[in-house]
Amino acid sequence: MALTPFTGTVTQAALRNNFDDKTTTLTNNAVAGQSDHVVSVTRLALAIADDISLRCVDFTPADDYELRVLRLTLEDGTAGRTVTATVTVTDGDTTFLLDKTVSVTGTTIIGTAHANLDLRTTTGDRLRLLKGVPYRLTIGAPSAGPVTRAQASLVLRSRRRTG
Amino acid sequence: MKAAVPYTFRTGAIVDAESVNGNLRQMAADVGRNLSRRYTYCQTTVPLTGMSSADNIASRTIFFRDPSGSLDAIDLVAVEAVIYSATGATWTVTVTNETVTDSFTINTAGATAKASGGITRLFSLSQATAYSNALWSPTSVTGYRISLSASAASTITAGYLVLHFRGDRANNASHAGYTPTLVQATTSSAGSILDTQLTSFENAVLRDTNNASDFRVECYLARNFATAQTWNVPSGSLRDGAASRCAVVGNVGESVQFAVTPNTTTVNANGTGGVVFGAITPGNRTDGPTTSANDTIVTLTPAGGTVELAYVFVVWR
Repeated sequence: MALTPFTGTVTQAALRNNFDDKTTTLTNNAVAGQSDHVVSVTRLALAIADDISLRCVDFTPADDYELRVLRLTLEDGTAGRTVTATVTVTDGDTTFLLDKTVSVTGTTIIGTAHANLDLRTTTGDRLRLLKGVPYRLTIGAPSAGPVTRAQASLVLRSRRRTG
Repeated sequence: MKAAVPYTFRTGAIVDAESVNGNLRQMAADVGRNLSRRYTYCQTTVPLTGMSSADNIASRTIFFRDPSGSLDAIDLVAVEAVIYSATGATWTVTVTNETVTDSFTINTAGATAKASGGITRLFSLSQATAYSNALWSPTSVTGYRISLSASAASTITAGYLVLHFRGDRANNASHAGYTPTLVQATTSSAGSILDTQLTSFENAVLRDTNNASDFRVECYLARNFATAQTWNVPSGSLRDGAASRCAVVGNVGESVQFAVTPNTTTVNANGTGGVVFGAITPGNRTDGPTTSANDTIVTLTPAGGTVELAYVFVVWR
């Protein structure tokens, strides 16, 4: 669709086309205001005995964020070790995550491996991290270790708003 | 946001001025609502693990500047801090920009006991200051400056800052809306007037697009490190690289190579009393966060010794 300059008599079809063209421009602009960013926590040499303080991050969002993906990246020189990354509400009120268990488990390979919990599917859970609610992103203890590098990442979507 | 007009013109129906004007009024209202949604929020964590109260002030300070004076603003709206450290010290977190300074304190609770605090306040930056890749004093640099100090000797066993940013899409743009010139029933050149109106409407919508800058900020940091450290950063929607600002604190002879897919830059340290900055442009990434090929790979590679501190703020638009 494109704007057709009016010439001579203004027809209904030209009016309809041109109004549609402009409202589409506006709609596209509004939709473009959906943008993603990443929050992550990384632990090098992740060991079974690591205190949780070394492998978690707590945060309280300043805006509502749609939770798109929970990614766990594992880098190691040994295959077969498992690690789980989890998102929880810090004060334990699970209703803020709809009582869902939001976690993903990965298994090391010799090299770098990724595991994803994809929350973008149309038939799956759609979760939102709410402004003012304290959340925690945790890398769990490995089944064996130490794991050279473990990184848990959240892909969060924010939308433009007025203030 | 659903943008629509109340009147649809069909062949055979009567087109009157009121219907046309009704559509123009609705479009003006829609563009006004769209333009008012100018802010995009994000957050990033800045690790503090390993920081000591005895460290040079340059190593206890984190700097962040807007990516360019010609782009829109990134406001700092809140700062959280979490500190795990042996009891007996009070850490003070001081947040400063060009005009505002504020702070909060955290009493340490133990090496594995969480102590936290935070501040919610709008810290904005002017857009006039040009970026400079130069050695800066940690107490005079412009931009956001977040520094920590402790009342007694203390080392942070584990900890981090959580910085909450607000991208202001329209800070540097004309944010005027659209005020339609209405068509009169007696207008003899309605087509020309409508052309002008629709063009004006589109210009108002695209004032934001021209500044296409729903900025988001992420930080990757390494402290006291002698080997390369890497982060795999998943992609997502609107992951176009705007800018990255690198910083290094270290001894003369030390350097850090910053790699942010697909570019690299090396910044040489210039003594632990100061901070040396660098710049690098991240590449645009394809949306697809579960496909590692779309990741941005951030790597900090030190050379010349154990580098005291290095970090990079990656700004997406």
